[in-house]
This record gives sequence, structure tokens and C-alpha cells, in this order.
Amino acid sequence: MNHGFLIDNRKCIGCHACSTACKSENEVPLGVNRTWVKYVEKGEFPDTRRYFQVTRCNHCAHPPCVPICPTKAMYQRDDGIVEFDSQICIGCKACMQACPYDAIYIDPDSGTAAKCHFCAHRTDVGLEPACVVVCPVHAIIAGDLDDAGSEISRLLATQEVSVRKPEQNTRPKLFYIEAEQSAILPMAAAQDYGHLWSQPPPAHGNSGGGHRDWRGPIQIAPGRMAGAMVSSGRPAKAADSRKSRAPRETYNAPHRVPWHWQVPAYLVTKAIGAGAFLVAAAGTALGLLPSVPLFTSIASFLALVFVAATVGLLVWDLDRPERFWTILIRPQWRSWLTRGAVILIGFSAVVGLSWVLSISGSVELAGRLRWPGVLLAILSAVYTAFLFAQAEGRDLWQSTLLPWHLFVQAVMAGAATFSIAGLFVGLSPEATRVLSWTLGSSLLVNLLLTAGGEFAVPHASSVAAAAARMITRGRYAPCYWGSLAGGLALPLAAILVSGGSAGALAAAGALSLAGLFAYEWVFVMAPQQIPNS
Amino acid sequence: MTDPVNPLRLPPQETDAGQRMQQYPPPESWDDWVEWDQRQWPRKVPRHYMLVPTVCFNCESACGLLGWVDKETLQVRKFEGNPAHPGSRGRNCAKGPATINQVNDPDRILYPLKRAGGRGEGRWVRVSWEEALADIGGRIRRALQEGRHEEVMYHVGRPGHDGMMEWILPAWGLDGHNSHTNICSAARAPDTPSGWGSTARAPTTPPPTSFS
Repeated sequence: MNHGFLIDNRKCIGCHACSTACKSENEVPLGVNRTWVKYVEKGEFPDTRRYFQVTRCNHCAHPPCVPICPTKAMYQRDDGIVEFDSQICIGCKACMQACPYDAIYIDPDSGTAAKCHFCAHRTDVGLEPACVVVCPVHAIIAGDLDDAGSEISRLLATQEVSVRKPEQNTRPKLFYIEAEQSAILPMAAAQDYGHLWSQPPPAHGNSGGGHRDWRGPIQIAPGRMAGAMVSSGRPAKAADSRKSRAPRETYNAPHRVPWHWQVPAYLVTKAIGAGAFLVAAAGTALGLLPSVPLFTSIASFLALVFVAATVGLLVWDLDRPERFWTILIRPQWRSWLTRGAVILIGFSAVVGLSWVLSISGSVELAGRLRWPGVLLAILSAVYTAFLFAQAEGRDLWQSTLLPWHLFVQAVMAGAATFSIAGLFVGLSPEATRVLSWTLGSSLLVNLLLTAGGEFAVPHASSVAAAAARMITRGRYAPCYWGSLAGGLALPLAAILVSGGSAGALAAAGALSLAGLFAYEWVFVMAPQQIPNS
Repeated sequence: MTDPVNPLRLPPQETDAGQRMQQYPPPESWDDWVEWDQRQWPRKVPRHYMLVPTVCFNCESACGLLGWVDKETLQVRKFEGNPAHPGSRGRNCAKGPATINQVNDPDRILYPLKRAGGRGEGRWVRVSWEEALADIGGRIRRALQEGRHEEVMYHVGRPGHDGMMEWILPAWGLDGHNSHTNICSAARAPDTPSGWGSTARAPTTPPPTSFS
């Protein structure tokens, strides 16, 4: 048994019966959709046409939403249906980042992830999904792909079909007959044209506390992908798309940005917590830094406080924070969210113990925790790169440089923290020199990795390229260039010209931490603005 | 003549019999159809429904619906197509399943209301059916007796009364029948035959095509 859908675009009349039947069957709240009909229009009267595309979960054979889920709330059934359990979901929204198709949403009533589940509660009693039954033109076919005699298998055997984004290697099991390229490619149609019968949410609009802002329409000028579709070489401003013949989106379901400021803030507190312990423990162990309280007990205490803040921010960003413990009770070990939680707990335990031992005089025992602590600090710093790599809906996050980048950021944040702390504690000239070198070299490597690495190489996917363009030239450009200039170049210059003054070092540290947040904000937010449907 | 094997004259299930999925529950189970409660899914909690044939009233096509009535609460849980309906044969447009919104509309008027303040003030009081009928009937009667026929107008969203008012209003000497038809269907009536050769009403609409 292997369930799949086939949408026959030769028959679809774009009536939205499937959308409303699904809403009724699954009691889907207002503002969210498990299935919807995307509209794209091309051409100019009288040579014009509107295309319909029923859009929903693809029930991928290799669903990226499943391995990223920390609690097994999203899972694949033996019959091929990708199912979810709202009673286990903690609302971490990682599945939404993993889905390259915009299929998953957070239910505003329950605060848990939901999507098309093939009406599994119906198929289990032998009924077709609600959208299939209602369709007045029999354009949606659901069936068993393993059964050669089923209607879907016979159609797949004889018709040419397409799937959405085959390059993601998710192996979608929703097939389209006569897919329209300007509809099946998320960024092929201009999005700023305006919708039929509905008003898209405002680009940066908030509805309730600024926490759940809508993803904007992204501005795609005809002349790039859209223009290519109609062989119109004339570049035009995005605002001109109303007058253009280029494909334009005239209906699509709105989507919210899943992660907000808590995630970039968590990256900063984690870098500080991991980096403070890393710099102090490695520095004292190698004899580069003196074994004064700042680099032993205070370092452990700072690490403990910032790792606790890191965990706090992670829980804060959950839509069901009270279910946080589910990660530990029913862990899904393939998820880097689960692995990260265990790493952070282990790191907190080691730095906590190290702090207690060092203030109670057991310096010898605390010293033995240095290298295990350094290992856990490095893991804490870099594991997010592997979590982001699992987020297959955000191609810009899939960077092979990211683990190295996160490591360097942790070293930079740790050195920056001690540079600021030096103002209050007082640093020996030797410690100041070592911190200046550590902070300066990490700033330089960070600058190279950011400007010369992640944003200098051409991006393989259009999704990653669009996010990079939005960062370097679009909405996030001021923040991005500000973080490079004010958070990396300026503190580096301050260290070079100041000649070891404690005040300049502290200022450089403060600037680099502020710049780190600005950079993480851009890096976390921009890829979430790129449409996947 | 009633077919003893298929008394409802259901269309054949478009997906084949056997292990494949069905479009609708078998009619012999319509009095007590058991389905898993969607709200508690994936926990398998059974809920019992009776499937009551009714008609969609969102346009004049009047497609068939089945009201899925929860046997425990006696509330309509959802509407799906009625496969025994000769016109729609179990299929619907977006308005069919959306009928549940009208049933559960918090602003749905459930009993007669009489305006309490001035026009547009939005103040209403609940009155009995007897009071409402006596009031409206009395005012119509006075208007007719006093020769103010032009002051009486009958307005209805969709004339679902099979022409009854077309006997009553002329009997009262009125030309005051207004409905959705005036602005929508009346425009279709002369136009559709010119394009399609018939008025293409639902009962003559061919069944959905199938590959099976």
C-alpha cells in the first residue's frame, strides 16, 4: 500500500471545492489551509489564460519534515501517508522549515503543526479523501501506487506527469498532469500583482503582537525568471507587473514566517555561552590565559547563564512551550533539535558542575572537566549547522561552511564577552594581548567566511539565490552590510589601531556581539521570506 | 420502476470495488455509519453518524447533499455529496461543503426578530411566530384593503417554493416578486441558450467523466 495523489489539470476548473471540503472535513481554522488552488495568469487580452494548481502536501517518499521533528509528531505511515499527531507536537515549527513546499502550518487554535494528512481517518475506513469525493470534475485522483490496476497507477502509466521541485530529492507522491511551469515554480510568477477575491496580507504586517507576521510578497521583476517565460527581454520594475504580460500570481494561500527574533537571539546567547567556556578552558589549559577567576569560575558561570538563556529562548519560541519535555520523553534521535537539546543539557551540566567545583575550592576536579567541556562547547556551537541543514525548505541554510562559521562566531563571542568583562575585572597585559589576538583573528576569519564565503559563491538553487539577493541587495541589505561594517570591520580596526587599550577592546567586543545579532537576524529571517509554493 | 438491486439508482462507484477506496459509505450503513473522530485523530475514537439526504440551497442547481448528523449530539458535523441525487451524483462545488458555515453561523437568525428602534439602529427583539405572522399578515391585509398594493413586496433570496408565490401574489393583485433571479438567473436565461443551446440546469448536466 502506497498512497498518492494525481491532479489532472486538464480537468480542474479552479472552483475551490477541494479547499472547502477539506476545511469542513478536517475543521481547519480560518487563515490556514491544508489544500488550496493557486492561480497564475499569463498573457494579455485576448491572448491570456488563467492556470489552476491544486497545492498541498506531497506525501513525499522521503519527507524532510519527518527526520527534523524532535518528538515523532510528524511521521510516515506504512501506507505512505505523511501523518502528524497534534497531541505530541511542541510547536517548534522545524517541520515548516524543512518542507520545501509550504505544506505545513501552525494551527492557530492548538498551536501545533498541521497539514494535509490524506484524510487518513477516512482512508482507514475505506473512504476517499474529502477533496477527491467533492471534486465535480474528478480532477483529483487518490489511490494506491503499488496497485497496478488502480486508477492512479493506470494514469501514471500512460500520462506525462510532473512533480513540484523534483531537485529537492523528496520524491513527491503528488503528480500533476499538464503542470503549468509558471505555477509549479514558486518564483516564476510575479507576486505583487494583487489577488482575485482576496487581499494578500501586508508585506511586513503583523496580526497580534508582532509574533506571527506574514511572509511578504517578494518582488520579482519581470525580466528574470518571469520575463523569460514570455521571452520579454525588457527589464521592468516589479511595480510594473500589472501592466506586463509576464505570469502573475492571482491567488495563493498566505504563509506566516515560522521563526522570529528568538532564534537569532538564541544563536547569539549560545555563541556567548559556548565561546566563553571554549576560550577560557582552552586558553588556561594551553597556558595562554592565566588561571584567574575570570577564566575559571566566572567563565563557567557565564557559560551556565548564557546556555540557560539559550534554552529559555528555544522554549520561548515554541508554540506549546509547556510540552518542551516531550523532546526528552519521546525523542526522535535523527532530529538535530533533539540532539541539540541533549548537547545543551550536557554542556549545562558540565559547566554547572565546573562552576560549583571551582567556587568550592576543588580546582583540581574542575580542571578535569575542561576538555569534556570544550568538546561540548564546540558541539553546542556547531550543532545548529546540522539542524539548519535538515531545514530543506531554506536552501541558503544548507551551507557547508556553516559549522565552521558557527565555530568562529563562538570563539569571537567568547573573546568579546571577556573583553567586555575585562572592564569590570581588570585584565593582565598578557590576557589583554591574548584576547585581542583571539577576538581580532576570529573577526577576520568571520569576515572572510561571511563576505568571501557564504555570500560570494554562486548559489545552486534559485531559493538560496533569492534569499542571498534579499540579504545583499534587498530588504535585509542595511542590516547585513551594517553587521559586516559595524560588527566585523569596525571592531577589527579598533583592535588594530588601539594598541591594547582595555576600553577599545571592550568596545570592539560590544560591537562584535551587536553585529553578530544583526547578522544572525538577517541569516535566519531572509530565507524564511522566500516562497516555496 | 424501482430497481430492486439499486433502489436509489446510485451511480457506480468510480473507484473499483474490492480493496480500493469508496466515494461514499454504502447506503445500507447510512443509518449508522461509524467513522474515526477527526478531532482526536490519530487516536482512533469512533463516532456514529446518520447520513441524512438534503439539498444544497446555495444556488438553483440544488445539488444533493448528505448531512452527517452526529448521533450522540444530533448536530450536523459536515455535508458531503449525495450519490443518489440524479443531477449532482455525489459531487459538489465549493458551496456544498461550505453549507456547514451557514448552519453554524453565529449570526444565523434562528427565530423571528422585530425591529425595536429606528431603521439602521440594529436593535431587535425576539417575537413569537404567532406575533410575527399576525403582524405581517395584518399589515398586508390592511394595505390590500386600502388599495395600497404597491406598498407590498415579496423579496426572497432564492425562490425555493416551486412557484407557489406565483399563484399567491397574482391572487392578491400584486406585481411585487423580487428574488436573486432578478439580477442573476434572469440574465442567464436569455444568454445561456445562445451560447450553449440549452439552459444547462443541473438535472440535465451530464455526470462527471471518469477514466475507469
